[in-house]
Amino acid sequence: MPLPADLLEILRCPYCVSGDTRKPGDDPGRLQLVLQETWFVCQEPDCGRKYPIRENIPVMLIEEGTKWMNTPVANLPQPGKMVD
Amino acid sequence: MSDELKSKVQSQFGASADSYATSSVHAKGDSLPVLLAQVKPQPHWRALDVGTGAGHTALLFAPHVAQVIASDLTEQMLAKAAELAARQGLANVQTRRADSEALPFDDASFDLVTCRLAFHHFPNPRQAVAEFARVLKPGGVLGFTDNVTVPQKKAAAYYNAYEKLRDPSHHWVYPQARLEDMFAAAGLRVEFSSKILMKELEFQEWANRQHVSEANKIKLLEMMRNLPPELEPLFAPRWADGTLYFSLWEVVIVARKG
Repeated sequence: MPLPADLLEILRCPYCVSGDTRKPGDDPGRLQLVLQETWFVCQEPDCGRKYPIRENIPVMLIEEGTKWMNTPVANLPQPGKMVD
Repeated sequence: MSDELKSKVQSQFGASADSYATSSVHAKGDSLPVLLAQVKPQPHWRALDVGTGAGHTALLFAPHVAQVIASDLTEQMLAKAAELAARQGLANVQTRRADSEALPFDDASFDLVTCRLAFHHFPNPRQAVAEFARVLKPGGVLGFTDNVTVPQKKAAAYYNAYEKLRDPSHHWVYPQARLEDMFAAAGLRVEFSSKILMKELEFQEWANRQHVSEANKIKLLEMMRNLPPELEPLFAPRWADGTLYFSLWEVVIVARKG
């Protein structure tokens, strides 16, 4: 089941939108869906956090996003085959 | 949220997802109808349920609003919430794995944020409340329930030690007035704060839901036999049928973003 577009529209990188680490600007932490809609990539220039969608559930935890910061999009695994 | 407490929450609740799906305190509970009646959900609303657990609160509101996002730290709990939503034919419930203290949503995204029986797990409660306020639209509603304790500091610490011995992912239960102050400080105007709802629990079922060891059960029973007097009216322990029955206090608070 695809994720509804209006619910994707409000999703943000938790690192760049919340607390002390919030980035400047009025809409920080925008995300882009990549790899057949299986990963979100933060669009802030100095962030690089990436969040997988596993079993239809976006995993929007900062430590999950940080794990993939330095992994190029092309090298990201398929979320269905990832183990915690 | 601190990594240590977060992993405790995930291991405690990952192992307990099934029992929370069927727990009568969580699935039914006197606070649910009060919460629904006081929040007065509207059909066009988008709601977020933080710390959804097995999704009971998300599922309660889903028939009354346009969309509900159910968020939790624990994957197994979200899977359980999704399963219960599917079983009830509720197609407007979506799940997100998220930390209550760093919500992955744009500002002013929700008409309603609910948080029921979860707040006592949050190690930085002020940060969580700041996040509730941030993601609420102006005029949006926070519908909150949690256990509360007595205002006396030593007795409150005893209360929290009791809960923590049963569940290491328990962080802190506050007096009702402290909760109201926290919401007000974040710009959430308290519009309703319920009387205390007492819920009586049977000790073994309560302890087993979190897989408490026999040694810790003995310690918990000992603590209940030596209560500070301020906690007598709260726990109201009652020994009957070869077991212990005791109570917890829960309140419902509804606040609005100014």
